[in-house]
Amino acid sequence: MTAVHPPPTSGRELGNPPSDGISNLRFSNHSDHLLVSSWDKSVRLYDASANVLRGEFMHGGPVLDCCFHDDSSGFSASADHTVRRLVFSHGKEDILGKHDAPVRCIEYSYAAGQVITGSWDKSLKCWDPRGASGQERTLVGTYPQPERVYSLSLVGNRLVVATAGRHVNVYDLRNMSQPEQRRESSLKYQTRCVRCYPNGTGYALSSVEGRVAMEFFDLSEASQAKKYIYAFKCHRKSEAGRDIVYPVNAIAFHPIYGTFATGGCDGFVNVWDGNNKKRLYQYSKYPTSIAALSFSRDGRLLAVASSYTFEEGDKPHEPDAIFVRSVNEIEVKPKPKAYPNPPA
Amino acid sequence: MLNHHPNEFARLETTCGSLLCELQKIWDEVGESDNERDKMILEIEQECLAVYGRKIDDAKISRAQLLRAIALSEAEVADICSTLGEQPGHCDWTAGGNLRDKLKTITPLLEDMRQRKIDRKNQFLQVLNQLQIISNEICPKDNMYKIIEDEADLSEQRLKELRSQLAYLQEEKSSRLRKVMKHLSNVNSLCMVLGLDFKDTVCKIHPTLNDPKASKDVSNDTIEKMATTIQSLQEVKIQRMQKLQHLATSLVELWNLMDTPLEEQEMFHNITSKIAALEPEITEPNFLSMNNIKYVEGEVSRLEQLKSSKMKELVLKKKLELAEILRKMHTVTETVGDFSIEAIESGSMDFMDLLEQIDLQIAKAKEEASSRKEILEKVEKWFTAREEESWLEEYNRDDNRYNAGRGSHLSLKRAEKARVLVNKIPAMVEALTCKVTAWEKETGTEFSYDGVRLISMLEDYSCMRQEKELERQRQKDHRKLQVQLIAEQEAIYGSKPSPSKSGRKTSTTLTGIASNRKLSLGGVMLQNLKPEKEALCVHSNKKIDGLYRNSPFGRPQSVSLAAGSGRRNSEIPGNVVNKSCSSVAAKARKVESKSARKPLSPVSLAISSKANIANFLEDKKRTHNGTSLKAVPSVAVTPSKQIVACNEGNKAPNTMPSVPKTPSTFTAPMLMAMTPATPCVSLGAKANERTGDKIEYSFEEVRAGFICPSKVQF
Repeated sequence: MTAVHPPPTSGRELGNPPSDGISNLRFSNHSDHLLVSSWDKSVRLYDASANVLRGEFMHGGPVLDCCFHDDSSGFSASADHTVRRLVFSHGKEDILGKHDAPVRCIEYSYAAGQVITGSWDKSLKCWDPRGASGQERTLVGTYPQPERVYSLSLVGNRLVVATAGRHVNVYDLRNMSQPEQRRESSLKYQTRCVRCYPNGTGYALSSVEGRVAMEFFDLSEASQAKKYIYAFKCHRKSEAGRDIVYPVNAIAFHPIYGTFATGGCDGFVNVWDGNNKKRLYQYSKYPTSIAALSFSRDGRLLAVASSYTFEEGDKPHEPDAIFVRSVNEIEVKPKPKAYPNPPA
Repeated sequence: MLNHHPNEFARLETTCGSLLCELQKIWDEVGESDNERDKMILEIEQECLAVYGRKIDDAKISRAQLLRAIALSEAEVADICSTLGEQPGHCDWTAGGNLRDKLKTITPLLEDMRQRKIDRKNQFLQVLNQLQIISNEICPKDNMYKIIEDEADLSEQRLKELRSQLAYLQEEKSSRLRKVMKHLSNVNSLCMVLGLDFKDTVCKIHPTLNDPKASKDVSNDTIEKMATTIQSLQEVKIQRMQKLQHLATSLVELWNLMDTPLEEQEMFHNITSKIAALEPEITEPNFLSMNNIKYVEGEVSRLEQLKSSKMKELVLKKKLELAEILRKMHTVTETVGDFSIEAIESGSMDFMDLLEQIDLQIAKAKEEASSRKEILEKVEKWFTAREEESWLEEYNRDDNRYNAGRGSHLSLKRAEKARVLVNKIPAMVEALTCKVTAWEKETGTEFSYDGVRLISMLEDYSCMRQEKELERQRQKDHRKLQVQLIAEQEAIYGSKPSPSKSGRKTSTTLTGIASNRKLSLGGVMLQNLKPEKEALCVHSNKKIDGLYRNSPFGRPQSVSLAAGSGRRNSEIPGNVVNKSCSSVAAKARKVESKSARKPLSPVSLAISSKANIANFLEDKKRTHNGTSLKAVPSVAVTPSKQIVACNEGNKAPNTMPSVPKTPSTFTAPMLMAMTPATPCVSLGAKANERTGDKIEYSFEEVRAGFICPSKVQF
């Protein structure tokens, strides 16, 4: 159970991994291409099914996040404060604009046709990538946040922004002038990751203290009282009578079943069924912390970034690696409850 | 000749005579016979004759030669004269003396003529050459001025003709050149306006046109091509101009529609100013370039989008307005949902239609609202009266209501007013019923209030009131019976339980719809939170509770005891009350009350399983030790309200103590108990130690060495 070296069941390891910590990875919405951003100042494009490195872009600083635009281009958020557009076919990149501090996260909204970035300069910026180069043309708006932005997630026209200080702002992309909802995280510790449910009804939020909260957008009495909202503990270990709690770095929802995988600093990836409140599967342990997770568009592949996230500062650690595993339906398909106790 | 040399002849005569004499002498000396002498002299005579004859022949030949030369020269002169188209009249040499003189006069003339011919020929050649060059330039394909090789006609007249032709062609050429230049400038201006590459365009017509130094090509072909190019460019220009003007028109329309700020408009003023311009008026460079058109198109589409989004907004606003009116009218708001943005986006509906429809509905709704207004006012009055009624009822239940306390005089006053109001209710209901029936008759529809028919509400209320009346009667009887019972008990045991003071409050009041309607989320939360808070203090009571339950007393007593803490008990979820007898739970409670619990941390969860409690206690202990709590990134801890919603754990009887760590497909329930956070040993410790203040940092920020600037401000 605590095998350090991953057995072959952990999936296929991609060749040419980044040389430093992996900050994020994402599957394309159209193919099995995988975009990976890293602290080694690079963004890499892999063909996950063919296990080929398709392209590499070097940046001025560590890259903290990346996302696809379409299959031919993507965007990246860098610690050198820039937001860049990457054109894969030409290996070309241009700068969409700049924040006043490192840019932590980036999302592309197909609904709004905009790039949304969150930065440690306590602001959110929306960009129109179609505009001509130059910040005046591309910047759509800047929206101040109560704290440094740590995580973003989009579903439809909804945007969830998680910041330091456990703030959670929910926006409607069509009206960004102010948050639709201002919330506080229901978890007591720093937010690590926020991801919206694929059905658009709510979001899951993970903290540094081995816990994940399930929340809903609908604030009406009916839905809030239905006890769908809850938090659960995960990524913990009992050792010598003490609980060791690990941060939950990553959440990835299965695009079809709505179940989700979480990855923690304990090197485990767990798959959960949020509706039935069940853990469906635990994959065997990866060499080091799980930094990022992504399901492919059809949910048949799961990309796992096993990469030390510096939770214990600079120390010797296992090499950074990307595993792509094929997902068995049994691992992600929700199971009905064992006893007939339908939720109210 | 003989004239010229008479002396010589004379001398010759003498010489001949002397020679003859000498010969005579010699003969005499020799004694030559006369015969011989005659023979000899005849011989000499014959030889002399032969010599003469030869000389004459020679002279004849030379004369014939001279004659021939003269004739040839004359013929050539005549020929040249005719070639040059001149009269050979002035050659009057027939009068002149001998042949040599003739020849002498004629030779220079011939030379002169020849020279003139050569000159003339050169002139012709020159002119012809020029002609050829020009005609070549003008029309390279069929050259009509081939160099004329035959020299038959070199006349002045022809030269003049050719010269005039040349002049004409030169004139033609220069006019063509002017034309070409004009075309070129036309093309240039068109290209500028259309944003095309002039050089490229011109090069396509003819490469020489582009070169400023080289002479321009002026052939028919080029001019024709230029004309067609200009034509086509003109067409393109007109086409684009129409397009641009069309765009400009829509731009202006959109501006007017949306009150676009001036500074945004200014960028396109140069375009909109040409909205009605004619084709020749548009000369601004790049004005009709594809880029410019695309730019304007982009702006138009941007504005279109803006417009559609504004329209959407407007529709939504209207929808909201409609919903608001309907809500105010207390009508069921199903009708609002008819128009959806999706319908527009899919193109099945037009914005204008939609707006019109909504406006229509709003107008209708307003109309209806005005007709309902009177009744609604009355209904509101009725509702306030009912609220007062229910308040009064509750107030009446409070046995301590007459105890002097803060605000009790206000309650008294209110009760007084309420009683008056309550007495008016039946009349109110009566009047309302009348009005509503009248309205319904008038309009032919049911008068519904929030989806419920008002008449039926009124009827319900009447029924309820009657029931209440009966209930009151029953209670009176019951009280009588109770008093009687107590009296009996007293007679048996000699003791008398103290009358319950506040127990009555719990039973449901008659509020019915009225009070439920006012319930808000906050209210629910409060109700849920309160019992938990109070549950702490109740523990001891509950144990007693349990004891009393076992007592052999009859129902009434236990009822009254339960009522002693009933206000709280009744609101605690049933399962908690049920479990309260179990020893585990009791123990849990004890432990719990010992440990210093934070206010508002949920009680019910702690009961969910013994394991969890143990866990919880351990956590707690560690917290108290204070060794590792600091390690967690410090966050101001405010317990969230949603904790309440996590009671789910209670329902799941098969909650497992921990998640099994072996990889398996075994489904394990999640650990959802909201125990206080377990502090973890190492995470984030570094960040905290380094900064030493309240600012939290994520791992990434620590790694990137990012320092939050706000720290400086503090």
